[in-house]
Amino acid sequence: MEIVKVEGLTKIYGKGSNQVTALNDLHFTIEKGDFVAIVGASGSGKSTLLHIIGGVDSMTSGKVWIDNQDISTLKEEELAKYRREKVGLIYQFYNLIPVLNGRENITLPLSLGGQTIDEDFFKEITSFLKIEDRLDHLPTELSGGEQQRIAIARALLSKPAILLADEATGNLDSTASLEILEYLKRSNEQYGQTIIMVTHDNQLAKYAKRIITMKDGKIIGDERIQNHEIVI
Amino acid sequence: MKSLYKTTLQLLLKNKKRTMATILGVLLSSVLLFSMGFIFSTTRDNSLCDVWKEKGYQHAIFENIQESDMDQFEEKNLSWIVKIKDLSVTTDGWKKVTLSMIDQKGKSLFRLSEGTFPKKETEIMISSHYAEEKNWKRNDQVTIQNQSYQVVGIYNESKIRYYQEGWDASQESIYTGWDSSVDSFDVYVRYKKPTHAFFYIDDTAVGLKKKIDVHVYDGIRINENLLKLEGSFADSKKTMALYEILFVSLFILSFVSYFIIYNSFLLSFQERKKLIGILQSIGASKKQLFHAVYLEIAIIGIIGMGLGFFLSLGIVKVGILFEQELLESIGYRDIQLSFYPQFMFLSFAFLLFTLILSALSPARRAFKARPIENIRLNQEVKLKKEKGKSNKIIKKVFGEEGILAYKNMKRNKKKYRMALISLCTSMILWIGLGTIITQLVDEVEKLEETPGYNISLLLPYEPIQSNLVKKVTNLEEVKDAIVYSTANVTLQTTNESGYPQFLTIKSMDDKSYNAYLKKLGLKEEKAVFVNLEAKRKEDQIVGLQKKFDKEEDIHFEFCSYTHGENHQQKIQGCYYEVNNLYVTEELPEIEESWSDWTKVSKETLLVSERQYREILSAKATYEDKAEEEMYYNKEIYLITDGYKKLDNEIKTIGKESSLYEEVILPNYLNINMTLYNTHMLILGIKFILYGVLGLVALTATTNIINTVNTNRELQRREFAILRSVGLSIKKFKKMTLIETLFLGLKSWLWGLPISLGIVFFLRSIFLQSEKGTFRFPTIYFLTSMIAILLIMILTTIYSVKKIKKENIIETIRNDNI
Ligand SMILES: Nc1ncnc2c1ncn2[C@@H]1O[C@H](COP(=O)(O)OP(=O)(O)OP(=O)(O)O)[C@@H](O)[C@H]1O
Ligand SMILES: [Mg+2]
Repeated sequence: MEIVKVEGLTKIYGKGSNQVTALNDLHFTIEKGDFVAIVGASGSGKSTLLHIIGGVDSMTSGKVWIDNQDISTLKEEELAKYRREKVGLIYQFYNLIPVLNGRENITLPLSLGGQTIDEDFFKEITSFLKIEDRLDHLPTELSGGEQQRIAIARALLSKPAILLADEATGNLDSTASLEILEYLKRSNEQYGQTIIMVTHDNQLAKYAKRIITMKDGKIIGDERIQNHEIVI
Repeated sequence: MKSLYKTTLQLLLKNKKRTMATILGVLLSSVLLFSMGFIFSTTRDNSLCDVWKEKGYQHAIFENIQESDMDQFEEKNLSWIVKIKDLSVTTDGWKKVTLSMIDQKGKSLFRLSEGTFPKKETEIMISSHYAEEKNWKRNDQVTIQNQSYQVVGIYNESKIRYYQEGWDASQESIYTGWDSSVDSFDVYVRYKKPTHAFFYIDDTAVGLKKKIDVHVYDGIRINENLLKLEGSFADSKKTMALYEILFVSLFILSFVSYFIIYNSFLLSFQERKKLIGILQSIGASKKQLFHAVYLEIAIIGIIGMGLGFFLSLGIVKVGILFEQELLESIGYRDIQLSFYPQFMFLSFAFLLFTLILSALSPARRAFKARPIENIRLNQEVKLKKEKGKSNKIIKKVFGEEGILAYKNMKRNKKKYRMALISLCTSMILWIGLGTIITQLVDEVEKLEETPGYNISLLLPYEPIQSNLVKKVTNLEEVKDAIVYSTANVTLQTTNESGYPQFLTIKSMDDKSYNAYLKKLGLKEEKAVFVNLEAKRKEDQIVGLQKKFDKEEDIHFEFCSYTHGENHQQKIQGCYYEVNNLYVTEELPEIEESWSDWTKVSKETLLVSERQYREILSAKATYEDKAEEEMYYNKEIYLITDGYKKLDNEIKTIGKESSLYEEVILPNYLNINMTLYNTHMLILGIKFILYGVLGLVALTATTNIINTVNTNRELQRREFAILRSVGLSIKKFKKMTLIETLFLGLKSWLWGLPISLGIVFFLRSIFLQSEKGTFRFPTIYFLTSMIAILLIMILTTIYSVKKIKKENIIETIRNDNI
């Protein structure tokens, strides 16, 4: 079953002579439970694509269906609900709320939706991400890797249809990066979590089941990794 | 939802500086508005109370009215009308006790603590104080002026003649019930709209045939001071000017308040853009974000306005204490603090409205943006091609740091625009209100201008004149003396209402008269027609409601009238004619200033003493009276170095006369002694005005500091990055100072023309009124220009010092909240 369907997606920034075509007529689908890596040169439009799928940026033309829902037609309030419930976004800079502690940051999307927190699932995720004992700390009191794991927990807690990670490890050293990747991979395997991940690092891309390569706003490569078992 | 509220609260708590700056913005505006409200209400209420005590609460008293005249008061939009007849005035110890008859309509003007309002002429009502003093009880039978009365009521508040329980009055009023057989009485009226009072009074006066001339009535006592305080002047232009000034002040105040608050919130939202983006990206809906903003408005509003209210209350209370201290020596009573509920309501409503508007518009803009735009802190940085020329100049003058500062400003236009508006606001506030206050101070100071003399004495009766004038002017202490004689004569002509016109004729002693003629450049003796009203209009001379083509055409004929039926007056015959007049606006030396009764009226004929005698004896002959019976005044003006000694000497001479208490003393004026009281009162008023100015200065200064600080705060991260790539603190300081200088100079560029516009508008208002003057507020322009730069530079130096201590990496790392 396809969870993401993109048809003729185009994104143009700016006007007139400053115009930049970040995405140029994209067509592709992503299956439920897949783990996709998007690679490509800097400025090729990876982040833009992810942001549009995540509902945080607008598209110029085209259609995007997530879980059979056309997000290009969503209204403000519906879009907020979509962001809250359907997607989890992880950024390179962890984007945590500085005044809330770890726990509060993780549960924020759910409490915004007025949903009750599944305490068992919360415990499971936090122990899985090894942050149980860092929950009372403010973001400034955490290391980069810990902050990123909090951000992942925040994205996972609402059981989103897709998890979007934009260079989630770009800021971390290789050990920490691999560790984060390991968590992503396990959540994909353990919970069947659909993941779309943007990365520069070909080494990390190999964790994925499918690699989409972009150049100048177009897809120039799309390959499935047959045997993606990698030994750390 | 709860956690979003929590986030809001924690955000406010954590980012103390930002929150305090926002609260400070609200606080400043509230203090400004509330203290103006307090000062205005307190001043007005206390002045109203003073007038009420001195003159009563009615707008006018019409004297000697008959029952048949009462229809003249119908349909005059009256608030109330009461008939009163004073029966007797006696002294009881040091108190003046007035016994008056009052009709039943007066009932609503009293509050009775006991008993009833008197209905019969044998019943009386007394004040609670007098009842206690006299130990008179209700139903007691008492005797006043050999008449027996029954006390039926005791009042503890009176609107007609001031009385409030607890007030130990020097005057007491006792009221008896109305006796309908009384033939004439006084009518006290109060109109519903004070601004219409003059119109209705005039209307009634014409109907009653009590109008003599424009604003001149016979037997009508208008409570002008009360009407002035209620915003109504006989001269409607003055009323307009008053409202215009009030309007301009309010406009500036609200304009400033709005911008201070708006700026605070705008900066606060700019700082939080990223946070808003994160919240949006994890699914916070617009509604939820708005709810969080409402919470913030509520918290900041309650704290800011609450503190502002109490702070202004404190400021005004302290001000009142000082004021009381200041006025104590002239026996000023307690000043009561008051605040009109309308003012309070309006101020709160305005502040709340401003708060909501200021918070919602940047919020709406931030919430409308795509989450990713907010997270990336996208700013509408527009890169224009830089002008190579200005770059070169800046580089030459300020060096590399100058270029950096210049680019910084060019690219962060929005941030700087807000700072600019804020600085201009301070400037406009200072210059605008400064102008108004100086103008008012000038106006008040005019009261203190001393005339060219020290002592004046008005002698209304012939029997005491000749003797006294000689004695007084010959006193040793007298350095110089001027003696006027004044009389009124009736002219052959009548005014528009059909009454004969009066003309005041005056003569001076020969020495002063010759000096005056010399001042006018006249070689020979000539009657001088002093015409202050309008000497020439369209090449014609206007006088006594007539137009003349040439001076030679003007001549006056003095006549006698007989009183006929129905107030009609008929010319009996004329006895004197003056031709060959000289028309001027110039006054004799001593007339040029001060006290109303020393001034010649708008149209006065100044003649030599010889001619004056001639006129009066002609009149006496014609009317077949002795010359002594001609009613005229003598005015003596004395110049001296020893006013205290002269004061004693004159009083000693005066006491020889039997009319000392009744006539001489009431018409005696020792300016140096009177001036002390006026001086203290003026000091009191100036204290209030300068207090307001101080408040304005404080607001303007705090606003500038606040602006500079927030701007610095917003750039902290940028600066840390600059420093991390090797900008030395010294260079950094230079760059910041150059930036500050640019900003300051730019605020001149905008603030000065706008202020100039406001000043010219104010000028047109102040010059509207008669004899209006206007002083260009150069000092406020200069001080604001210098102060803006100075305060900005000092604040910058201080903030750089603090940044120096900061850890560079910490600052970069700390996400912008
Ligand atoms: N807000 C914006 N305004 C104008 N152009 C933009 C904006 N954001 C991105 N772009 C342009 O769109 C193109 C795609 O940008 P995008 O951020 O998607 O690239 P990317 O593939 O994520 O690059 P990187 O690997 O460096 O993160 C780039 O050419 C970029 O300059
Ligand atoms: Mg990117």
